[in-house]
Amino acid sequence: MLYLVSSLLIGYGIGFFTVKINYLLVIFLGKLWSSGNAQRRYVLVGGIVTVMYGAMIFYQTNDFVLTLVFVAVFPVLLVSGIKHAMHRFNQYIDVLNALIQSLFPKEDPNDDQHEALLADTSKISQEMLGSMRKSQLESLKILFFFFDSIFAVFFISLIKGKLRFSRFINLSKEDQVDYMHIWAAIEGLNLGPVALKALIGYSYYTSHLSWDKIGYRGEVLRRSYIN
Amino acid sequence: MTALNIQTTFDADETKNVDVCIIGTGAGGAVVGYHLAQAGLKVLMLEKGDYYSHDDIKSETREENLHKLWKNRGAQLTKLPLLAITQGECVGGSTIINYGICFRIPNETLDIWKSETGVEFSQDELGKEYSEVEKQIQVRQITDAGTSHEKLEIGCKALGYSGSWMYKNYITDEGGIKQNVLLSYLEKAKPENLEIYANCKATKIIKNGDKISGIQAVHTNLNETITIDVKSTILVISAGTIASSELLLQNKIANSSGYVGTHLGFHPASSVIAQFDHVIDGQNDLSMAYHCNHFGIEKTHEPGMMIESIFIPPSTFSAATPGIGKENAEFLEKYDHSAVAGVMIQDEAHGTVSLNWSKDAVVDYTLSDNDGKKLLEGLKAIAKIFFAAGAKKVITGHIQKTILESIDDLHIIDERGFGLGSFRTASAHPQGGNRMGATKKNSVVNSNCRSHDIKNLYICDASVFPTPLGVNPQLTVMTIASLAAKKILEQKTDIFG
Repeated sequence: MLYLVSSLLIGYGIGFFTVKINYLLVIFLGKLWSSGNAQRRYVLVGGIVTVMYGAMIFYQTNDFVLTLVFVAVFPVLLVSGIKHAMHRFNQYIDVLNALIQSLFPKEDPNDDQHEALLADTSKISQEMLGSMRKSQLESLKILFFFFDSIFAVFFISLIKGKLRFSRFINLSKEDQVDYMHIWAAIEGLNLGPVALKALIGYSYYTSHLSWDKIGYRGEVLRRSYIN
Repeated sequence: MTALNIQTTFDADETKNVDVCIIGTGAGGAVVGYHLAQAGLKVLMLEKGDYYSHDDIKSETREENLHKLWKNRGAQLTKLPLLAITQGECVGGSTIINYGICFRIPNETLDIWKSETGVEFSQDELGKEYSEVEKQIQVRQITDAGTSHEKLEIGCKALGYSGSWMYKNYITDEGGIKQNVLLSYLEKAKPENLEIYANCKATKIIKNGDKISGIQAVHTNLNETITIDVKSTILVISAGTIASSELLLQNKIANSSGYVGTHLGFHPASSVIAQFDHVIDGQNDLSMAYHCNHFGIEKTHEPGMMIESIFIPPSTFSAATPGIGKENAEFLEKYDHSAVAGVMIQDEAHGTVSLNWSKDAVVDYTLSDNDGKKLLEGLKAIAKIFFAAGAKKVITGHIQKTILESIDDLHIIDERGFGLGSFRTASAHPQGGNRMGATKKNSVVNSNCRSHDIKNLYICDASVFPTPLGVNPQLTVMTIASLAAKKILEQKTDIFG
């Protein structure tokens, strides 16, 4: 029974970390690009691990029924682990919104357009992400996933001697900005925050609600039909 | 002007029989479509993007328009996300979103094309065609461009750098209305002969023996996918660099040379922002106007760089300036005191387009060391020019925050180097991928844009350029397409019987 319980827990863990490792490998190999076929790899890993653990349990226990129970339940927990990690992976919109909120805090309490401007920024950013090629969107999702992870927050913050053991979205706004600045100052690794800043800054200033502050009128038609 | 014969929505599957099917309605496709329709051929143009009338565009701001009209909303990146590539995706293609700058091909670049792949244009043939296209699209030299552009002129003159006001396809009404192929070609074509299907993506090219026999396109609305089957005697692919190669690779055609998806160049560009102590307010000015060709191929006789003054909207300005959040916002506060110029490299054509497992195009391109050095020198040259014009501060397009307070700070640019990911770079001029040349041993199409492999297939867009031009490419795309259309008509009897 101990084998069964521990193997099932391992199954969940393998499922969860298979997703993480898959994307972390992509990052560490220096290729912020993926073909969008990760699920095939999960099926392959799941199949191999199920066979391996099933064989191990049968070898240790010689109990055919227990092995059958394991083979029936293990994949379910493995898939649960994958689903949970995928859910985390798909929280990039939450990370995006947290970034927008922390990069553009409300400075004037009388600014009644601020919330609308941030909502507009989020909408425009999401439209841009939604129209990207699938492979490039996945690259950005990887970036959001990694950016938000406890792993990245911990090690990036540690560079400046700060101990943070939390996901980005759970940090205070001040810590979020500080974390972003620390990362952006690391030469060679700063492309990530620069890409996120470019996306969000571009969207913020695409919204006409941001223009009054900088005296931009957004008039196009004197130059006409796009310039 | 005639009424545009255009359809943007579709209710049911249909089959069309035409003489010519053209995929893409940009600089290349529109010119070919116009000439063939005027000659009496039945032409159907398939466009993946939507159609936006003049009134549609007038009713919204520049930002809202650009957000809609750019391919992938401007978020088209290379495999390593170091280069943002801007292309239009709408009826009219990139000619709708570009700044309308027109240059003829430099003689030196044409010589490179001739020696590398055996391109067979004569100067006379090209010159005559350029003149016709320039007349049709109303090319004139820019005047009264505005203060932000004059800064580049002042600096160049102070340093003795050669430069001049550029040529643009625009009319001077209402302060300068830029033309595009929608206005100059498509709306002037005979509507009974030229039909446009917008929001239709060509997905499948059907080959029968050594000829193309049909094209399948899909229109996707909220509820269903509608299929358009096109039977045509000739197929012209003008989907633009990257997409044209992608289509050929997806359909595994016209690639006996193995060159489809190779030799891409991008004219990678980076910008320099200069802050002045007085208001410039570039939003009142033309979008692009003065150029310094002191370091260009026509002066140095080898691929070099071009410096051009440019107005950029706050969205792009934010992405082009350093800092995050508040720090970045401080640069935006000086928006109306800023002038901008970009340096564009005539780069080595070593980029590739390939397909990933999802059959999507992946563009692989990074700056070579040689091109990185040129870009670095270009940023230095612009900094010098702006300081000579009286700038108080110069911000370069490095990823790492780089702000120069005076000419004495130029060494900082050298210290930044030109390694991978050193600069913010963008490309508005993707070229190559289906290079033109004398034989199938070195190219995909011949000098008439006709496939070496498939006799009724033509490729007419910037993807046929063997190497990057070194100057803004739209006029040359139109001119080569115009020549190709005339060759098709010369061979009309052979092709159509």
